[in-house]
Amino acid sequence: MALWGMVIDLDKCTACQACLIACKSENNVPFVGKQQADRGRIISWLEIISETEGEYPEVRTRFIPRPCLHCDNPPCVKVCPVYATYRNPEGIVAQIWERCIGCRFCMAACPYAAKYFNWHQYRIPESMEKGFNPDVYVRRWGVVEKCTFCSHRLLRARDRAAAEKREMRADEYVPACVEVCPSKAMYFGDLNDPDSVVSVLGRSPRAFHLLEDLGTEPKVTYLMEGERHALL
Amino acid sequence: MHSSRHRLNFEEHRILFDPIQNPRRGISIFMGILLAITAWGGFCYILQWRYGLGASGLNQPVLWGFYITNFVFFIGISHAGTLISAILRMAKAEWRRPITRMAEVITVAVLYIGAANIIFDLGRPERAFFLFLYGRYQSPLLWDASSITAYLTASSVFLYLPLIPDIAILRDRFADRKWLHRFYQVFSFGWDGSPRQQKVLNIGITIMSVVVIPIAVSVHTVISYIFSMTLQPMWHSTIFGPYFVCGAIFSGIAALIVMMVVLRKIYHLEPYLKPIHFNYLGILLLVMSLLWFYFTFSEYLTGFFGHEPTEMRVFWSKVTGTYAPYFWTMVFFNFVVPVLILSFRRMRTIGGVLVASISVLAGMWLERFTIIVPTLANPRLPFPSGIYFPTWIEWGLMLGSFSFFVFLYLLFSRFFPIISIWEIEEGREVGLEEVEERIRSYLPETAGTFNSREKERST
Amino acid sequence: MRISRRHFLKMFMGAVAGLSAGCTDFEKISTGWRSSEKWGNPLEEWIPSICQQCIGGCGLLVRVIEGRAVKVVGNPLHPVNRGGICPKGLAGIQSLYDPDRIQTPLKRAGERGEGKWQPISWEEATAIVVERLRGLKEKRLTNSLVIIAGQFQDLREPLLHRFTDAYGTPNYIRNRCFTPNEVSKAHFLMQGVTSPLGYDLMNAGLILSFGCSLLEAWISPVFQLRTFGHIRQERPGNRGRIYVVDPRFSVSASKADQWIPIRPGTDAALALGMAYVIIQEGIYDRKFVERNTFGFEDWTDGEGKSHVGFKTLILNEYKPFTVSSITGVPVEDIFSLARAFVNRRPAIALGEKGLSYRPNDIYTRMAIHSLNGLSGSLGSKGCLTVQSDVPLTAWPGTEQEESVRFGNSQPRIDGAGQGKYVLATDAMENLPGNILAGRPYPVEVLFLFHTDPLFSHPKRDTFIKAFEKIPFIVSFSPFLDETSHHADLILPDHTFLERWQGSPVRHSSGFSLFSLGRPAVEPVHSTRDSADFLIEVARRLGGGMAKAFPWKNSEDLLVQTTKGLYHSREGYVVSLPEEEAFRQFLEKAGYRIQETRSFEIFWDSLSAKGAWWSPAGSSAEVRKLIRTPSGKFEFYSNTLKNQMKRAADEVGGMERLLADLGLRARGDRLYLPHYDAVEAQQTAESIFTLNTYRLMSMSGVTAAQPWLQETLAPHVAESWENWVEINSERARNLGIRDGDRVWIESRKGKIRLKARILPTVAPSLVHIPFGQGHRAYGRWARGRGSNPNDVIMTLEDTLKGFGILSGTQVKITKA
Repeated sequence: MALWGMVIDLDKCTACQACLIACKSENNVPFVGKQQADRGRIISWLEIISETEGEYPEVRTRFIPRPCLHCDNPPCVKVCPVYATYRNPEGIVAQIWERCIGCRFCMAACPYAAKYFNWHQYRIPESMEKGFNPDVYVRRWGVVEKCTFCSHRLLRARDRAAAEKREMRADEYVPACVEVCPSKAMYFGDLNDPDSVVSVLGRSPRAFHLLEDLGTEPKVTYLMEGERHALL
Repeated sequence: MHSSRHRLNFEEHRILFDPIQNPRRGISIFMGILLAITAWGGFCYILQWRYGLGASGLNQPVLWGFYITNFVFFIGISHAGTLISAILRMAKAEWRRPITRMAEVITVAVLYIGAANIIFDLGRPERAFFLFLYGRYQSPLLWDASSITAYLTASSVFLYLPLIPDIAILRDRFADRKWLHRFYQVFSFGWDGSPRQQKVLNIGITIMSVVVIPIAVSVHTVISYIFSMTLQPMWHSTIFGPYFVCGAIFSGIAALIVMMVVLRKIYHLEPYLKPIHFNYLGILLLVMSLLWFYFTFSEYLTGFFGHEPTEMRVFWSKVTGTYAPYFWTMVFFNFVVPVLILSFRRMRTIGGVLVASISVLAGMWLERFTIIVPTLANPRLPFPSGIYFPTWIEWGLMLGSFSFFVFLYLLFSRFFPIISIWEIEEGREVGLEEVEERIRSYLPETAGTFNSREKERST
Repeated sequence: MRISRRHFLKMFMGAVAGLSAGCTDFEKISTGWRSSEKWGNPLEEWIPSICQQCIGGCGLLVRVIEGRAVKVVGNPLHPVNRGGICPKGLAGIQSLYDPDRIQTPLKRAGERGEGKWQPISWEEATAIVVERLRGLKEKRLTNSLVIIAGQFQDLREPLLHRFTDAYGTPNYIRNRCFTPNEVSKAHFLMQGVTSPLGYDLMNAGLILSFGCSLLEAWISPVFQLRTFGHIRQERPGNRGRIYVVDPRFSVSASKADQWIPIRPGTDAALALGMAYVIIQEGIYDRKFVERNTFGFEDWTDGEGKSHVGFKTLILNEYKPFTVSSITGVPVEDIFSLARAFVNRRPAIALGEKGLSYRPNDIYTRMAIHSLNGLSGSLGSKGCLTVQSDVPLTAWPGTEQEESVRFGNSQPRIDGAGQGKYVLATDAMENLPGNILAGRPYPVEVLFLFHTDPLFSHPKRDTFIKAFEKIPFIVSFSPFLDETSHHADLILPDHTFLERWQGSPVRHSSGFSLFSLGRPAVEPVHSTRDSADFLIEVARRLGGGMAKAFPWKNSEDLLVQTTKGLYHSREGYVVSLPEEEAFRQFLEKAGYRIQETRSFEIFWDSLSAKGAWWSPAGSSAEVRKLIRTPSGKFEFYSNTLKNQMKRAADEVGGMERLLADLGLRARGDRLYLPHYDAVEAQQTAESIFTLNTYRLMSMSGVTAAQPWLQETLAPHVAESWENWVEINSERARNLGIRDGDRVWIESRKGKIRLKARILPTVAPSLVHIPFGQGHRAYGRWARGRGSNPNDVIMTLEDTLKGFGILSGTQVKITKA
């Protein structure tokens, strides 16, 4: 069985935020409007975390795109009281929207703040509903939602393979963020296959995980920015 | 003992029947006001139900706020009762007699409100029963649900058992009032005060005292686990279990003292609640204050000394940052005020103890708040840190919670004596002898006493 | 009445339902697809389109399910973006389904700008326009038709141009800070080329950007992002380097190997200081300089007059210490930057579409470009290159009647190309003043295409007054934007997902490319493709006009035009990279595969895959790159000299011209790259220099897209409004805290914005991103933040005819 994982090469990433919008478009993530945004309620399954060090002119900013890291040892799953979030056999940490009671314990437990809450029933104008992706459920008020690694695409790919009476190839399944990355900084594949691109890159000396010391064993690996050349 | 019922002088305990027999208009009006505030809280909840949890000031990093603070706070107060009364019973502290009932009522009343606050905090309250349908025992939240349910059951029983003889007294007293009589008759369970019944009751109370203590300890330990089982900075701490239990007892005693002073005043219970009771409770409060400080100090020093960066962000936000006003007010209310007042015998008057208790209640509420919010507001990753301002809906629900608690309490006192009559009587009849006997048993059998007894016997 | 048990139950359930509906919103809550019964497995289609959210020209694939566009992704075959796409492109779908789109043609009902509209039919609308144009024609006033067009890349561009041409007006004016299909002025002056150059960034060893927001909003953003990823990690052992010279710590700067903060407007000095080091150390490309450049050494002209060469000028005036004190860049950085630029060849210095801080910054661009000359970065791999032309079918010639020729021979209303606007192709700055003054003639009809000058131009107030003077204004905007509010007639265009598109894309690299987009969905409203409308109007006007527009509609136009591609026997419809590699391998061996047997098959293939390209043009020989009179790369620009002479004649003398232009240099320096001192800036506690910039998420049109409004920028977590970035220390001195509201005040006006205190901001500057502060343009865009154009003083870069959007002195106070 496959174990899905992602690699993000920070040396190629340009912080353009395409992954983020691709995710919103693919997963029917609502926009919340100015008032709610000001109150810190934007839902964005994937976020670009930025961190700036130093003072002008000696400054450095790092950008890290953070989807759900789909930990192999997910702190959010441990605390859910109703099995609304769970790690499936292929490593995807999923959320059952209709099961969630909205206690937000998983959000409090996630050290990456990768889970989001529907504080309201977010309504968008009817005309814009035409742009909804029919493959993905529209979450309603009061439940927690999160990145699913676009698991509906996995289902589709598997259905298609089944219809064609063959095995699904690993490269048939790609999440929306990886699909659109303009600088090709994101990779996706099967971590159980030692020759897959994610496995190979995962062995790179540049590879690291976010908050590795917490022992959450994320399945999203980052590749450090390459050597910074001083002027020579 | 058997004779107690016959010898009971109603007139002597007239004060205790007064609230039931001749309810005072003022108190009824006050209860009406409380009910109105509660209704306002209910209205706030309906609004929140309509608009979703977004009606609160909660947001992305600060996803728990007033409701969880209140939840922890109220459950903490619930330790007033059952735990204190159980411990005092076990310790055979005779001064407990007029206090236990008051304490136990606090527990039961406040537990409902604590549990309600958890419901307030749910995004989908109508799915709360999923906890029973699909409960998942690895989650500390389910441990919580279980232990609170257990505590609620146990403490209700623990309140009810010692209430039976008093209900029987009321049943007899209100023989002429049809409905009230029927009501008491049902709940008195056919109590006639026979020695067998008395014996069974005493065994029951003793068993419940033993049972309720570990449950009470577990409740607050498990509540602390909600926080300490996550990996979040300044939550992930082994000390949290005892720390929370200590805080709970601390705030519980304070709540008890406040209730005692209030009821003493409005129901004229001066003959029953004497300065000595407040003095003793004051000493208990002082001990808990010192213990609380010890825990707080250890907790914060450990964090500070380790100097783990994420830990320190939360630490500084509490000590010098956004939450510093709350933090230092908490230290002032929880430690400085009670220790200053309660350390001196002269200041351990009823007034002094009351001031200390109110201070502790405020301080402990702030303590819960400063444990929950600053950690959430400073997530590990460099997200913009969150700011949390409760909305009027949250204030409304908080006020509603408090007033509903007081309302429930007063409601109880309208139908049942707030001081255990039979236990007072028992104290008179049996306690005095027992205590003398007990004290005597502590002491060495000296020649002098022996001689004098011999002398008595011979004459 | 007997109430049965069932009856009772029903009533009870009804009561419960009523109660619960009272306190929850169960009915309303079920949204969109949940309530829809169309689950099952709907058919999906992927339709190629072209992104028009900016001028990048990315190929799109639109996922269409049952007539609904549900997702936009990059076209994986498209050579510009290869499946990648930026946030703007993804949000295009929100533009399509925007609830505030104009749904039918609208005729003004109340006063101008009052906002009262009367819906009319397309037939009526067409008749109104035709009648107006016919009227002008009869009065021989065709030149009083003005078309202002915005920033887009499409065949509509030549189509509009053709419309003005065939109708008889010279006034096709483009309102844009960057014209993708026009050559950079520096390249034109120093190399003589007249079509845009490409940059082979994919193979460059070093990219030195002078204020170009390479990773945010440069020529073709996605292509640049792809290039970035490629040179960083897809060339094993050869990780490309990027250095960014910019007063602002942009995203590009933070992703670069080094950021070189510079005093605004002094880039020329830095470039020439680098040139000093390169020349002084003798590390320039001697072979190239000797063989292919003009004006490097001192020289004597035909008349025996001696001239100063570039070398002498540089060695005399741009010593690193001098440059360092001008630019604020440490001396050692100037040295190391210069050495890296030479040692890491192929290296490219980028100055095109960079920041503009000062008038006549043409000399800055020339100074930057001179570095490319010194390092011989022309015509080889990883250097500057030509972008080959696309072999489209030429459109039939227009036979012009006398009246049309008369109209066309009139001077342009904006004065571009004349006098002091000698180098300008469009002079938007000059336009409103001239309209107001009726100079050289009054304007009768104005068409607005894909442009919103009342939002995007600092001279908003003048424009409003100027518009009052114009009797008839037609807007083709699909949205009721600021300018459309002042129109008399609105003829809503399709959004780009609803129409045919064809675009010979300029994309910053060398290959030639033609993109084709099909309508992804049926038009959502009763809108009409403006190209179709123009063709229709031309047909009705008849005569030469009708002959100049022989096509049935825009689809027919594309079919006819792309025939040239099929017959050109070069290039091919895009396909998978593996196929293309194989094809290139065969081509090298001298074989060419004719893949389609007829144009119909070619067309089907093109419209299914979305693009045709000819990768052959990615590198070019030097002689193709240099088209100057001398046949050499000119440090001393003869072209500039000739142009200035012509302009001097028009305005009456060189001194007059130089005074008009505000140029201080005289003699040979006028034609050499040089640095002209910047005026000393005011120093006061609360005075800052305003710097504006563009975000990846915000082009002119994207403010109405909620997704983008919620993810404006990666470096500050702001949404739904813009902000002003202030240096931490200076903010502290002014008592401004992060998130406070502040007033930004210039002599022109003041705006209120949220202050973001960032350690990355230079003490003397404040930065404000463009794109917000709409006064109209639908519910998502209106009233979000403030428009920095309201405080920008309209300094004019006369030579280029465009306003300077940075450099205004502003005062910041706490609001």
